[in-house]
Amino acid sequence: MNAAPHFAKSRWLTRTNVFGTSTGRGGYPIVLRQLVVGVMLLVTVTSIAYFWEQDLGIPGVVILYFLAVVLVSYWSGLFLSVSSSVVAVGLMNYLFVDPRHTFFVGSAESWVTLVGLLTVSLVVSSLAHSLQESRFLAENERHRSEFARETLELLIGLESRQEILSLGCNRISAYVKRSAMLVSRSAEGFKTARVAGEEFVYDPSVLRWIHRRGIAAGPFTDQFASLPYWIFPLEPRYEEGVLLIVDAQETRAALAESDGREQYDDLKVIVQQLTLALQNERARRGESDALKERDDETLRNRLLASVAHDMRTPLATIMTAAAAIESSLDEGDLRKRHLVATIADEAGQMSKVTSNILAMVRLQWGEQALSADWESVEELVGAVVNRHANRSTTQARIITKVDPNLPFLWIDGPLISQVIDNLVLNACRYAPSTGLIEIHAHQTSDLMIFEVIDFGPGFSRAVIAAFDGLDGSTPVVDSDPLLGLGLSICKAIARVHGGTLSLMNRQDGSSGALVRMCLPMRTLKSLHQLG
Amino acid sequence: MLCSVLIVEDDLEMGVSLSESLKAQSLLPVLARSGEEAITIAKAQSPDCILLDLGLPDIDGLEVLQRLRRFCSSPLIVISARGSEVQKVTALDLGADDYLVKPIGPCELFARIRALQRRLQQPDTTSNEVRIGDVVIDLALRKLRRGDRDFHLTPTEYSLLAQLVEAKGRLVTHRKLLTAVWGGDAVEQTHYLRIYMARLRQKLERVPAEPEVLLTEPGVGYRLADFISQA
Repeated sequence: MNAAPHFAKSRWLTRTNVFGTSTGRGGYPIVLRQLVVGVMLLVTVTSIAYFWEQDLGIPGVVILYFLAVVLVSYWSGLFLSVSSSVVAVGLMNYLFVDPRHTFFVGSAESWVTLVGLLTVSLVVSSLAHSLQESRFLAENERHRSEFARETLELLIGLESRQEILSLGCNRISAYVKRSAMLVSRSAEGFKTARVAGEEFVYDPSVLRWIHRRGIAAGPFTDQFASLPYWIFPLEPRYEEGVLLIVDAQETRAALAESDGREQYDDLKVIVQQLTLALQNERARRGESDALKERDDETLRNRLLASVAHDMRTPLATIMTAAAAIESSLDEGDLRKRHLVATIADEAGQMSKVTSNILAMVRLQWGEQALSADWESVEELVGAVVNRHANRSTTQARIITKVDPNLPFLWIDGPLISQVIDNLVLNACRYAPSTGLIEIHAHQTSDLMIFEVIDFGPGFSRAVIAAFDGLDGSTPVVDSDPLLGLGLSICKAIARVHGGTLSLMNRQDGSSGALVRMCLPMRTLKSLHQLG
Repeated sequence: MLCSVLIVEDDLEMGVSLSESLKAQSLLPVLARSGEEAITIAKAQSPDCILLDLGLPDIDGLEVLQRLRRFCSSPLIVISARGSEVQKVTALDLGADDYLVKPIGPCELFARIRALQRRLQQPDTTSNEVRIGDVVIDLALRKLRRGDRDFHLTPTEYSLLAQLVEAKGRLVTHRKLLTAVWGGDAVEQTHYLRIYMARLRQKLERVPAEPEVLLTEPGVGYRLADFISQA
């Protein structure tokens, strides 16, 4: 920021419009040309009037000078228009009004002629100048619109971010006929991405401030107005974004306030187009990424569904076939009945293992996204009790101790219900078949605690230690037959809810296992008001 | 009397095993191995019950379900390897009476078919009073009695209970209940249901966490246990 950039060739007398071209409104070369043309015109008119004065008469001479003034006014600026009017009146007076070759006016008629010529010339000059100014403004406006439209059309056709930035930098540089530069911001800091013209030296802290605020800075703005360049944030507030720096030193030095602001406004329009193009590109990229992610997810879901179907269908066939065989056997054929029942039981067990493996794969893939809702603890426990009652494979009875008026929990109900059900199944497997299983649910200040308790042999220390070492995603089926996939999945589900699952033995002196699941509370405020 | 059962199953071994099991239960199974075949048989024979697998080779099972429901009101149980709650809700909302996830034990399947059979045998007229165990629900008087205790039903409790009674023990999805009682704009407000179901449970159940009358299918909906209608 402290070193001045290199500027284009100075055109300090040439008023340039924002397109960098001469305007013809008094720029030095044009003024000179117009002066020469004006002088030649007046000389020509004077010569014609001098040699053909007898034929033309005074009215003819006046009309000739008047025509000359109109032509000069039309082609030149206000200064030359007025000057030509004054010179024409002076020449008329000096050469054609008596007494001749003096500037003395001898008669009232001559006074009227000269004052009339001067007045009409000045009025016409002024009108011609206004017309020219309007034409210039309209032309200027057309050029600006045309440039903005072209830029927009070019940007619309571009797909990649690099192309958009490259075009933007080049267009803006061409627009102002001066240097422009792109600086990209990343985690490592600022880095020059592209330069059109000469490279600027900048202060990273200023760029950081501008990028964070998302506002332009430089001459004719409210921020860092003394800078020799403009800085425009193209992707404000993004972690990684691009800033545009445009040379403004010449503008500040040579242009009037209104023209400089006009340049700044024009630049703002193009920068807005560039910003929009970059936003669109980001949106397209985001959409493309989302589509790809969705496709991947669809593929994974299809794969899982296919595996689930291919594994479950044969098991279902085995179980159904076993039931069909069993129904055809004689009542007294106990041996065969026992064998068929074994087939059905083992198929059922295999089915549970299959479900557990699929559930674990889903959890590991992140497919088991939580579908959280406000859930009633009473309902979830009740569903497990009901499911247990419908199973014909166990005689174990469930007793519940659920605190009344428990708040609703923001959890995935089916998953938590599956956890409690798995724990009950586990208890049924290892506890006496006709024993009791207890399900407790109560709350502390910040936790909801579920416990499933049985009267079986309990867990060994090794099992408890192995389970504590699980990270919730790695099943340890090989380490201990007591620790099946079911418990690993329960732990993983508790963890995705931000909770814990721990194994322990009953602490009331009786033999038996106790599995405790703690979930963070997220109670619904003013629950009763909703009712 | 329920007798014919249309089995829609593309897996031949599964279909044959299921047929044999149903025959052993004195039912008359008919096997269809594609969606189109199932629709044709259902139109021609009007089966008393349909067991529908969703994974069919020609048409998706859910579409078959939709097409069957246009002309057939027989009880329909979906038996599928797809076990997600979303699938269950979709199938139930499309008109399935029950949803079972493979592999299912034949005993449970027969129990579900018998339950449907019992519902079919009940008179079509909507009864004012139903009995579930020791619970008696009187819709006309908006009262319910459990044992010797009477409970009054609020308008919302009554509306919910009426929906469940009308379903005759079929599973009613959250969406259906919310739409019926609170209107279509409330389909996402499942906490309304939780609040009122908790109140109903207090009135219907001896031990609310060990339900015998108002049963919950987590993530899907609610059903009433098998009941007897009384004119």
